[in-house]
Amino acid sequence: MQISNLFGVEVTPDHSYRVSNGSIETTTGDIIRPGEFIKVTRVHQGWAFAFQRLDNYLRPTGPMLFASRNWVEAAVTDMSIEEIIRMVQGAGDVVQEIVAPRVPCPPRDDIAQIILESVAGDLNTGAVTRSPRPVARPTPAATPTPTEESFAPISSIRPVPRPERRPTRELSSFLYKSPADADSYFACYKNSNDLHLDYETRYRTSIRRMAQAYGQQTGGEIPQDDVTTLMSCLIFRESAQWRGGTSSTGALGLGQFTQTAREQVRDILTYNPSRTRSFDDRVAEQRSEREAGRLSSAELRRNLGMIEAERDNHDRKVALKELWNSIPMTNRPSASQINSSFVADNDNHEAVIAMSALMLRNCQIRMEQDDIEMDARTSLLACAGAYNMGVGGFQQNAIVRNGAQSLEGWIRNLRNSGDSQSAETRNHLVSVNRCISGGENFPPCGTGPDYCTALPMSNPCTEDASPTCVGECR
Amino acid sequence: MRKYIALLFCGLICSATPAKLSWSKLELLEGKLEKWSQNVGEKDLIKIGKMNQRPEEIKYIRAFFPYLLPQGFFSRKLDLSCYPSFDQFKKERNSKTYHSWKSCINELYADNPPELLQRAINDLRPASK
Repeated sequence: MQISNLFGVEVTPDHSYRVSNGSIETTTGDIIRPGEFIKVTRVHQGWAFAFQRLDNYLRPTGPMLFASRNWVEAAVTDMSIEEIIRMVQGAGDVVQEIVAPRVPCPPRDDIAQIILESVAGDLNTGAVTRSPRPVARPTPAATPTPTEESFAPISSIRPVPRPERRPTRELSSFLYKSPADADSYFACYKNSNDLHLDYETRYRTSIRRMAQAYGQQTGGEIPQDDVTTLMSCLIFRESAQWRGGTSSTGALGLGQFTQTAREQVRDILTYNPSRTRSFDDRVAEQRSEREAGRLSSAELRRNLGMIEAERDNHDRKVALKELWNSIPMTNRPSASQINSSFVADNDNHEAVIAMSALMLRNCQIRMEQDDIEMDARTSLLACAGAYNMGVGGFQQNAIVRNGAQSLEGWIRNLRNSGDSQSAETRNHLVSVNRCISGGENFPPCGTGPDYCTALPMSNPCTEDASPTCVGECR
Repeated sequence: MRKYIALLFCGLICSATPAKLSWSKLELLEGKLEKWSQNVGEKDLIKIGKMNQRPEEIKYIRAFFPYLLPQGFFSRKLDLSCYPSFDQFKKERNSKTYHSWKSCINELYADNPPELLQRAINDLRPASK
């Protein structure tokens, strides 16, 4: 059963359509844009339409493509006979004009006649199912007349050229500042001398201690200095240059912890696996139950999925708890102490920074579990983004396709996602990236959604400008 | 004809006029989506996982029946991670298990879950005693 967009066109195999109500994404990543024409060939596996693009003569061209049925139905409209004729006539003229010396085109009247006969034949045999939805007709003014001037096509019926692919940033080009360079950055863009002094005299040591433990847990795969720089930049950003306080959404303190995030930390710290049987034993038991006929294959699948999820959650929480215990703290709070007033107090910077580290590491482990291939530096920056919109939100809206492993890709996907937090996360990512990027000292972004959502940078903070250079922060 | 069938199930999956989710509707959906995922096949499901324009069915599978997703489906583990708490909530349907599941979802999406999950959080909330 197909559950479709009830307000779209009923798409029938062996018929041609114009894409007009938005683009269509195919399984190969192609985008069919408004103005293009397609011929739907068949329904594929119940969920997709198989189709081909049509050329200027409405001939199928290129490989067979596949896209979700509901999205195709929502995006296409029927073509009227008049439209087909007009298109072929216009297309013939244009193609003839361009390629006539090399590829003579058949006389356009003949092509139109062939199509007319073909469509009339379909109508006679009842093969064409026309949608009751009225098809938008061109206004008389837009209809080309067969004069020399009208050979230029109507803009909407031409396939839209694809935008040029911009080179994606190589993974290795995520060059982090050294912690010392990051310190210069913070000095340059400080909010106030007092707040900056707090960083220099208190938070910096906490961050470096945390980064050492973090680096050790990853077996050195993630360089300690990179963790230091990333975490410093993340907290610098989150806390509005070491201020902390309460945000409009109720997030608190240096790490801007929400109630949900505090609960998450408490859940990790109180995790106490009570199961005595191994996950492998449980899997084996389920399989033998199935073999004995006491479980259906659907039940087996569900139960195995459950065990797999519990195992992953267990592994993640154990690793995070280990990380927490390995971070040096003068006063290590119990889970029950971690409440709103605790995280709002900048004097608890050791624990709050360790909590932020848990969030970051949690994200990295989740992405590893989902086999999202990213090198350590890229993954750290991605997780700084996830710090803002959650791992699920970031995976869904920024990474999307498994290939999106660059900042540009995340920004582009976020922009297209339509998610309500998209602008804020883009702003956040750009700001953190400006802070961590080695050899660059571009200003941090403000917290308004309109700041810094574009990657191009400006207004670098130079030594000459320091310390008055505050960029967009002020 | 297909539109009439679709209309019948509009209460379950029609995004234009979302009806209230309930346990009975989810149970009905589970069987249907099991069959749907079998028809589509693992290979295509993995392809769908890499697309933005996904069939509506995938939203429901990810939210409520993620065990139907094949290995290699983008975000499978992420979607599975709240399944134990959802399953517990489904069995017990009380405030404690509801809160546990809700917290899991809110943690994943930083308090901004996708629309369907937000609907479920609202619609499946146990009545207060």
